[in-house]
Parts: sequence; C-alpha cells; structure tokens
Amino acid sequence: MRKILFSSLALGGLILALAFTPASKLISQKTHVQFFSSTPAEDIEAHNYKSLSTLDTETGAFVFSVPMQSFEFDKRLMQKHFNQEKFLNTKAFPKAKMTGRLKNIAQIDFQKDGAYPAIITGEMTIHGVSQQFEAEGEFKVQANHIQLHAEFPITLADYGVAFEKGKPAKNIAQTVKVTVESEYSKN
Amino acid sequence: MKKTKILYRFAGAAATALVLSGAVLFYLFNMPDRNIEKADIDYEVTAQYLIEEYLQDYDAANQKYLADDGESSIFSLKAKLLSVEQDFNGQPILIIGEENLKAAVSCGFSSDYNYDFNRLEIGQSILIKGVIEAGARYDEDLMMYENIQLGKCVIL
Repeated sequence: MRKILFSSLALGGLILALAFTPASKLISQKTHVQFFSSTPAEDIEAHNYKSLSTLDTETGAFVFSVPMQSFEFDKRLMQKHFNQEKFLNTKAFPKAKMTGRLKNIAQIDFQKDGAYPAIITGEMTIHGVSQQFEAEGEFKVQANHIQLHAEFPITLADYGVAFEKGKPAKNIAQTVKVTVESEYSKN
Repeated sequence: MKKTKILYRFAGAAATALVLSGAVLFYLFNMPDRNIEKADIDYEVTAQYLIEEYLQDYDAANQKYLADDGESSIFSLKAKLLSVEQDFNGQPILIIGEENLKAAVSCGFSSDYNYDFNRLEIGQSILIKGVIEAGARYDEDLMMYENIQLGKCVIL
C-alpha cells in the first residue's frame, strides 16, 4: 500500500515537473565528462559521471552543469592536486558549466533516427572564468534516445588556472582534451 | 681516522634521508584510495536537513562541507528512497530525500561496491554514508534544482 502511495506521489511530482517543462526540453543525468592530459611526465585522465544536462530539441539550447569534486582519478594524490586552491580551487568554484546552442540545429532532426554532425557554440565557465567556445560533436538519434558525443581542447590558463612550478604544473598539460557524452530520453 | 668517521656518519645520514624520502614519495604517489566504509563520519543528519541547509545558503554550506583538496565531509544521511536510477556507466544511483522538498540527494557508488540493489524498495527508509561532492541549489540556466551529490556511498 505504501509502495503504491509513494509511487503515486513520485509520479505526481514528475507530471507536475513535466507540466512546467516544455515538451522539447530533455533532461539527462546519464552523462560522462572526461578530461585527458598528456605530458612527458605522465598521462592523466579523469572521469565524471555526475553532470546534469538539458537539451531543447526545438531551439538547440543546451546546458551542462559539472560538479568538479566528482572527477575521479586513478591516483588519489592527483585528485587532491586537481582540487586544491592553487589549481582548480574546487571549493570556491564547485561547478563548471557549459551553456549554448547548436549552431546547425536546422540540420538535426531529433525525430528521425540517424547520426547528425553538430556544431556546439556557447560559453564555458571554469574556475569562475567564462570564455566563448565552439566545438564539433555528433548526435545519434535512435527510437526514444538521443546520444551526444563531443570532443574539444581546453587551455586551462584561459580560465585563470595557474601553472606554477612543481606539481601539478609539470604533470598536467596546459591544454587538455575534454570529451562530453550524454544520453537523453524522449518522452 | 676522525675524518673518516665523520664521512661515514654523513654518508649514513644522507643514505637514510634518501631512503626515507623515497619511501614518502612512493607512498604519496601510490596513496591508497580513501576508504569511506571505514572512515569516521563527520556529520549524521537527515537528508532533509542537509538539503534545506543548502537551499537556505549554498555558499555557506559549501564553505562548511567542501574540502580544499576535494576530500570533503563524510555524511551519514537518513532519508526515504525516492528512486533508483543508473548513471552513464550503468552504475546504480539512489535518489533519496523527502517527496515535498525541491531537491534531493543523488548517491553514487564505486564500481567495486558489492550490494544487491534489487533488495531495495521505493519509499523505504534508508541510511547512506558517503562523501559530499556538490550541494543543492536552483540553477538559472538549467531552470531546475540540482541535487546534492554524494559519492563513494555505502548503505548502512
């Protein structure tokens, strides 16, 4: 009985949320943000599966909100360096964000199965600093699912990340490769 | 003779320092992962308490709970299980909280965490231990409330 009640309440909440959400706006919690850095000292990669993303399939507007302390590294020491005040200072800047639009929305049909190249343009905010960016990606539409895959470089100094001597400066590249993936479900 | 003794002692001290430094560096470089299951709990509260604290003052709550090096506060949270989701990697995510709140807590688990999530029932009371990674707030760009993110969780 309690199970039915809670399920009904959860369903009611979802219906209310949807009532105030445009039908074209999709929400995804199935996301993957990865960064990869290569230096003579070592290769470093970190994975984050806790970002939240929205995508408006009519306007092409999208948002990615990335919790910085959710990045996972192979080495615990590198994770501590990544978060520290003299590097990304994630206590002061706990979220990174991408907001923007699909520049070529007219060429993407989210109602028809297929693979569609995408040009993503907008603003990226990391470490409290915002920069315009543009990147190429791809949407794959299959039945009720839309998958996004995009890769682009980020130069950390552009976002006020200092590279002073010592670790992590010599172990992290000045420009890192970022991969963004997301799965959206159409209702 | 005296000079030789001094030299030997100096060499011995230098060698000891070198070995110790090497050992420290080796440990730092291969530091074991933070064991949340065995670690002390910093705060034992309800999920509702933590959510409301964040929604009241996001910056103050971050200042209180997040650590400079990312090894932030460990919570034991009591809440209702609202739903069971999956992340991009197929790992379970438990959404806990209370139905009447604007945000909830998303609890993520390590890939090597061994637990039968099928035992759980939506609506049941649950006690979860985990590390806070991000707080809850309304995001103007997303136009929705973001959940508290708890990582490396274990079910108590």
